[in-house]
Amino acid sequence: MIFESMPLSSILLIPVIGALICLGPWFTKERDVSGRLCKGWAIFVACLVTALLGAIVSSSAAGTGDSFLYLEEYHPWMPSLGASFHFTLDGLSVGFCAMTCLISLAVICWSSAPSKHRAAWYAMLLFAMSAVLGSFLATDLVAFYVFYELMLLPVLAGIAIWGGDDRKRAVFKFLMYTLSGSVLMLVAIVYLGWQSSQILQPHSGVTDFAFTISTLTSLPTLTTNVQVVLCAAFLVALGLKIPIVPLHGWLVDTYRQAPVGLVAFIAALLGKVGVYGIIRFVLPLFPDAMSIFGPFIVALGAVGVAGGALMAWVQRDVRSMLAYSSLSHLGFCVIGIGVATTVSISGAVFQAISHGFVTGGLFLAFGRLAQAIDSDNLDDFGGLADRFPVMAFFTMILTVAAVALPLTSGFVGEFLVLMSAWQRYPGWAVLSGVGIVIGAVYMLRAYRSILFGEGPRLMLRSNSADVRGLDLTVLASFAVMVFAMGIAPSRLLSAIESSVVVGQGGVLKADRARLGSLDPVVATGIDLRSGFPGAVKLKFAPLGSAQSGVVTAKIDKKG
Amino acid sequence: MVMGNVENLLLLLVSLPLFGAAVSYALGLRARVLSGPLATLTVAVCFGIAIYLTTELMVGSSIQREAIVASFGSWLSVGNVTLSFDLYFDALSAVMCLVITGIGALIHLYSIQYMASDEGVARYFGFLNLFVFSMLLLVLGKNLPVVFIGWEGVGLCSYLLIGFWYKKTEFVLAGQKAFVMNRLGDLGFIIAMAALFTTTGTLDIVELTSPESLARIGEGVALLAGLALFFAATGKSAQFPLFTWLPDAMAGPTPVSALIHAATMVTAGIYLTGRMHPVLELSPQVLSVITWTGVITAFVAATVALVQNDIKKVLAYSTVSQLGFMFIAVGCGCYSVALFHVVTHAFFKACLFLSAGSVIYGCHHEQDMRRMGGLRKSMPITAATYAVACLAIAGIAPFAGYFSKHAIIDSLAHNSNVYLAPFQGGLQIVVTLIAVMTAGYMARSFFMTFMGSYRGEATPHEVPVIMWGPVVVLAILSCIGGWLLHDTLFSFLDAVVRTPLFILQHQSLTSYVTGSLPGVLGIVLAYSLLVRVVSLTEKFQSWGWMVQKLWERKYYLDELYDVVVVNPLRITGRFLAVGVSQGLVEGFGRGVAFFVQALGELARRTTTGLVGGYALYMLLAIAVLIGILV
Amino acid sequence: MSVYGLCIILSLALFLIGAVGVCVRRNAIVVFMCIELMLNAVNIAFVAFSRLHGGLDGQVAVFFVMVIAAAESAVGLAIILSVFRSFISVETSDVSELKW
Repeated sequence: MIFESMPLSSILLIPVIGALICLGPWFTKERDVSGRLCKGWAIFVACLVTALLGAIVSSSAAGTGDSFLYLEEYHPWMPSLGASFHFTLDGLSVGFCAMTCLISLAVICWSSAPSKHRAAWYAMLLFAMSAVLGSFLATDLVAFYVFYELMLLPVLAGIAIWGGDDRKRAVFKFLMYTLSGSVLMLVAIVYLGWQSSQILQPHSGVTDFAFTISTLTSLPTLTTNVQVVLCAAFLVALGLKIPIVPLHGWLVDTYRQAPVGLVAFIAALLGKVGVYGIIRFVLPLFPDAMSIFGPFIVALGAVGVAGGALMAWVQRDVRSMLAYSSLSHLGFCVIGIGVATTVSISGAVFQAISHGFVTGGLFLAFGRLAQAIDSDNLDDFGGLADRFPVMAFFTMILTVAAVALPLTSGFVGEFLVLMSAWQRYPGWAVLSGVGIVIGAVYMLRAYRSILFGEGPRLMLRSNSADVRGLDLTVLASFAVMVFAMGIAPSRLLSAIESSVVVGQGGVLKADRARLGSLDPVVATGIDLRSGFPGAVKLKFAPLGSAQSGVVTAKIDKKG
Repeated sequence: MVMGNVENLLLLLVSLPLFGAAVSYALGLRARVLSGPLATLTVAVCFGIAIYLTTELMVGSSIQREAIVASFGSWLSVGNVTLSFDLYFDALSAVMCLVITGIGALIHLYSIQYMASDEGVARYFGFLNLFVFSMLLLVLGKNLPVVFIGWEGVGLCSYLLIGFWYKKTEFVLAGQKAFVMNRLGDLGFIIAMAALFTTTGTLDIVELTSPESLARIGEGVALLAGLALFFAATGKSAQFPLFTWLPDAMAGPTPVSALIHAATMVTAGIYLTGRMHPVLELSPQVLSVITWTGVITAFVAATVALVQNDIKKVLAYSTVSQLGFMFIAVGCGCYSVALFHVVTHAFFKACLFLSAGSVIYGCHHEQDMRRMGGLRKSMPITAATYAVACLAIAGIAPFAGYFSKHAIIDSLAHNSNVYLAPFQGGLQIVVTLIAVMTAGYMARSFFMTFMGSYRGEATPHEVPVIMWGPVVVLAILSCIGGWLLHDTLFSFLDAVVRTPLFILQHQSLTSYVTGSLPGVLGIVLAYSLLVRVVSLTEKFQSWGWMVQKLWERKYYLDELYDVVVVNPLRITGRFLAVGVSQGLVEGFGRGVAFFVQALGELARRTTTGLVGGYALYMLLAIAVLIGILV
Repeated sequence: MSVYGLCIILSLALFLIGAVGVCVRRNAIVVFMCIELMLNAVNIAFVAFSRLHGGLDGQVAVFFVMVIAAAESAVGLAIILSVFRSFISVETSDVSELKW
C-alpha cells in the first residue's frame, strides 16, 4: 500500500494531482468546465487529504495516556548535495497541518469564489494547500526552503488573476518583500550545509552535506558570532512572513488586494509558516543567538501587539483593520518565541493555530458581507444583522474569540504567553496587555459598524442572502473549533509540548533523541541512536543514507 | 476526588443556566413565547439548588463544612501551568449565589412581561441566562482563570444586553464603552494573575491565600498585585475613574439594568476583593487606596445623581455611589460588611430599578422624570414599592439599607489603617454628607415621579401582576431584609471573612434614631428644595451655574478621557499607521527599490543598442583581461 | 627584421583595421567585411607562426577558420538580408531594438 510507505508525501501529492486533474480540461479547448464540478472535485480532494491526515494521526497516536504522535518519512532527493525529502509529523507540526487542511477545505467550500476561471481557482487553492502542508512537514532545510518558496507561486498567481484593482503593485510588493527575505535564508542554509560537510567529512571520508534539522542540531554548535549572523538571516526571512513589526510593509496591500477566499487563506496560513519555521529550525539551530536576540524579539512582539492594535483602530477599511489585527495577534507568537520557555512556545504555537481559525473565519465572513455591499469601507456598512442574522451570530463568536475572551481559543495562547513573559519581561507584558484592551475596541467597533446600527449607506446587492448550506457548515465549524480549542486545549497543548523541550539554559533545544531517530548521518558513522530512551519503539528497517523509509514512534512523555 | 451528590449539584448549578441559555436562544427559531418561562424556571431551579447547597454548608447557625469543591475536569496543562475547571462553594460564594439566582429569578419573571412584545425576546432570555451562568462561574471559580472566565463572560453579556436594541447606534456604543472600560480593568486582573503566579507558582485561590503562599509574596508584588486586582474591581464595579460606563449602560432594557448593573455584576469587584482579601491585606497602602477610591466615587456619583432628570440615570449614579460605600468597607478590612451591603443593595436597588421599569412601561417608554409626576394615583403599587426602596437606600432605621450603611460608617470609624487614620474624622463627615445626598436624590426622584401632578402626554397605567409581584417581594425584602439577615449573615460569613466584633454589638433604639438622621435630613432637604421651591435646577442656576454644569456633565470625565486617553491613542495609532508603517517601513522598502532602480538605470545607459559599442566593450574587456593575465 | 616579423605586423595591422572598422562603421555589410578582415588577419598570423615553429597545427587551424568564416558569411549575409527586409536598411544604428 502506497500510503504505508509514503504517508506524508501522499498528503502532499494528492492535492497536486487533484489540482492537475482540475486544471486538465482547462488546458484543452473546453475551458468552460462547470465551476460546480470543479468545486465538488476540490472539496473531495481536500476532504481526502484531511481524512488521510486524520487517519495517520489516529493510527499513530492511538496509544494510551502520555504517548504522542511521531512519524518521520525520508526520501533521498539530491544525495550528492545532502538534500532530502525529510518529513516529520510530530506534536509541533500536527496542529499546523490540521489547521491547513481545515482552512483550505473551508476556503474551497466558501461560496465567494471568483466568477471567472473557476477551475484555476480551485487548482490554485489545492496547490497552495500542498505547498503549505509541505512547509509544515519538511524537516530538511532545503526541502523547507523549496516549499516555502513554492507556497508563494499559487498565492501570487491568485492575487494577480483575481485580485483587486491595484493587484499588480500588491503582487510585486509581496513578491519582492518575501523573496528578499528568503534569499538571505537560502544563503544561511547553504552556509549551514557547507559547515556540516566540514565537520562530517573526517567521519565519512566524502564530502557530505547535511540539511536535516536533526543532523544539524547534533553537530557541535556554531560559534556565537556565526550563529548571530545566520540567525538574523533566518529571522528576517521568516519574520517577514509572520510578520514581525518592522517587516510588515507588504501586509496591508496584499490583504487589501487578494480575493476574498484567498485572503483568508493567506492570513490564516502563510504567516504561520514563519512561526513554525522559527520554532522548528531557528530555536534549535541557533540557541545562543536566540538568547541574545530574545529581548529584542519580545520587544518587537509587544510593540507589534500594541502598535498593531492601535493601527487597526484607526483603519476605515475592514481588510486593513483585519491586517493590522493580525499583526497584533501574531505579536503574541513573536513574544512567545522570544521568551522561549516551554510554556511560552506552546502558547505561541497555540496562538498561531487559534489565530488561523479566528482570522480565517473573520476574513471569510466580513469578505462575504463586503461583497454584499461592494465596499470594504466600514462607514458604508451598518445594520446588516437584520439581513444576515446567522452570519451575525457566528461572526460574534469569532469576534469574541479575536478579543480573546476565555473559553474561546484566542484566550489560551495569549494567556500562556503573557504568563510566561511576565517572569522576565513584565514591562513588555503590560504593553501587550494594553494591546489586548485596544483589541476589544477595534473589533467591537468593526462589528458594530458592519452589523449593528442603522442600515447600510450603500445598496445591498439584490442576490445577497444570509449564509446557508455549505457556508453555514463552514462558519459553524469555525465556531466549534474556536470553542473546542478554548474549552479543551489540553490535547493540542500536550502534543505541542511533547515536541518542544526547553533546556536548562531557558533556551529551547529540539529534543535530539526524538528528531534524530532516522537520519542519513547514521550511515556516516555518527550513531545518533545511542541516546535513545528505551520507551521508543521504532517500526522501521534500518536505513542507509540512500534509502527511503518511514518511522513511527510512540514517545513516552517523560522519555 | 470523590464526587458525591452535593458536588454534582454544584456542577448542575453552574451548567443549568448555560443549558437554559442555549435552549432559550434556540427557542427563538420556533416558539419564542416559551423562552421566557423556560429561562425563569432554570434560574428558579438554580435558586433552589443554591439554597440546598447553602444548607449543606450550614446546619442551624453553625458551619457544617467549610466548602464544597467540585470539578468539571482539566482545562489546560503546559509546563508549570496547570488549570482545571474547579468550583468552590463556601459561605462567600453561597451568599453571592443566593443573590444571583434569587434576585435573578425574580427579574427573569418580571422580564417575561416587560419584554413580551419584543421580537428578540428569545435572544434576550438567552443572554440573560448566559449572564447568570457567567456570574455563577465568577463567584464559584476555585482558581483565578476560572473566575476570569466568569469575569469576562459577564462583561460580554453586559455588552450584548446593553446593546440589545442593536438598531440604535448609541445603545451599541454604550455597550461597547462598558465592555472596553471593563476590559481596561481586566488588564489589572491579568497583571495580578501574572504577578501572583510568578511569585507563588499557583493560581488556585485556596492555595494562593494559604499562609505559605502569602509568605512568599514580597512587599512590591503585594502592592502591585493588590492594586492590579483593585483596578480590575474598579472597572467591573464602576469605581472612580472607570465609572462612566455604568450610567451609559442604562441604554439596555430596564430589567437588565436591575440584574446586571445594580444587583449582581457590578458587585463582582466586591466579591473579588473579598475573595482575595488575604493578598490585599499584605499591603495597607492598597487598602487605603480602596477606601479613598470608594469615598471619591461615592461623593462624585452622589453629586451627579442630584441633578439627573432621567429616572434610570439617577438610579445608575446611585448604584455607583453605593458601590463606593461598599469599597469603603472593603478598604477598612470589613469584607463581610461590604458583602452585607451587597445583599441589601441588591434588594432595594433591584426593587428601585424594577419599579422604575414599571414606571417606564406604564408611561410608554418615557424615562424623563420631568414628564412624569403624580403617578402614585395611577400606579399605587409601584409607588409604594419605590417609596419603600427609597427609604431603604436612604438608611432610615428599620429598613434594610440602614443596617448595612450603618455598619459601613461604623467600620470606617473603627479602622486602624495607618494611611487612613489621620483623615478619619474628615472621611466620616464626608461619608455622612454622602448619606444625606443619597436620601436627597432618591427623595427627589420619588417626588418628581410620583408626587405632584402628571406632566406627560401618555396615559400611565398600573402594570400587570406578573410585573409588580416580583417587585413587591423585593420591596418586602428591602423592608425586613436587613434586620432579618444582620446576625445570620455575619456569623455565616465569619468562616471566610472574619467579622469585626463591633458590628455584632446590639444596637439600641437611640442608635436607630441617630443613625437615621442623615437620611431624614436628606429627604427633608429634597422636599423643601424641590417641592417647595419648584425646581432644584432653577435653584442651582441662581447660585451655582458652574457647579450644576459640572455635575450634569459628570465632572467632564468623559471629555477628560477623550482628551487624555482616547485621542492620544488614536493619534498614536494614526501616526503609527501613516507615519511609521506607510512612511518609514514602506518608505524603507521604497527606498531600496528606488536605489536598485537607479542602479539599473545607470546600467541601462551602457547598452546603447549599437553593435559597434558592444564590440568596443568586448575589445576593451579583452584588452583588460590580457593586461591582467600577461 | 625577418619575414615572420613582417607577417605579424601585417596581421596586426589588418586586425586593427578590422576591429576599428567593426567598432566605428554603421553599415552592416562593411562591419561584416571588417569581421572577415579580422579573421584573415588571424589566418596570416597562424600561417606565419606555423612556418616559424615548423608544425602544421597552425595551417590546419587556418582551414578551420576559413570553413567557419564561410559558414558565418552565409549566416551573416542571410541575417543582413532579413534585417534589410524588415527595416529597409542595413545601418546598425537603425536596428537598435535590442537595447533594454
